[in-house]
Amino acid sequence: MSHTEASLLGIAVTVVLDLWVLRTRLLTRRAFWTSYAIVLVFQLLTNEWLTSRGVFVYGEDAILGWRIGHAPVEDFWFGFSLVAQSMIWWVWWGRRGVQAGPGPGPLPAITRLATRRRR
Amino acid sequence: MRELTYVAMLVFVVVATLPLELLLRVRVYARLRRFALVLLCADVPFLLWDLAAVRAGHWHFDVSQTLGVVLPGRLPLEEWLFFLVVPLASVMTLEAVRSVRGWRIGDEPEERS
Repeated sequence: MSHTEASLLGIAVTVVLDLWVLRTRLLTRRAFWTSYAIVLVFQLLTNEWLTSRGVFVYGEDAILGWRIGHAPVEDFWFGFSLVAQSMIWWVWWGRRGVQAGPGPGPLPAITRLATRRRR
Repeated sequence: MRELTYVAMLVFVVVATLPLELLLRVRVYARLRRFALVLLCADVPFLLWDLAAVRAGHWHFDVSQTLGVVLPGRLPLEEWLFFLVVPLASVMTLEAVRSVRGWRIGDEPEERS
């Protein structure tokens, strides 16, 4: 199996895990997609740092050769699965009652700052 | 400095997400038991994938850009820490979005019935 096939399989496993095995259905929530978009921005930065410097070296036979910056597109597929599965398991353990529920929200000073700016 | 290349990225991620715990009060550091269970469930398959990919020649690491500690399976220490830092940042981001927007993620009491 190549990195390409493995990382696409990883996405399929992630979807099946979320929708049918654990039934957390996190992939249907806007909280997930908003969070993933934020993480993706940071993945673009950090993966570029590592791949442009050659910290990660890829077997040419293992990847398609499509790159975003210096990073192979497969890295983003791998990253999606790792990020999503981390969040999915966080929700699953919360649903089982392990340290569940929302936190207290932002510090009051932060909320005041944000609402003042919005007005 | 060259040997700090990989670890610098990890430090950046930890430092950049710290305000989420302190200012947005995402309470991930405060819920280490739940986070440890996430690592146990989410990391095992990805670590096995990483080890298999190195063995199959899908990728390898330039050890000269790491601290030089190579652990079993030819993974540098930083690669193991990657699987600590990335789930940490992911979960903190999810909780940060919930903290700010109030959107549900599925573990709320009313969702658990």
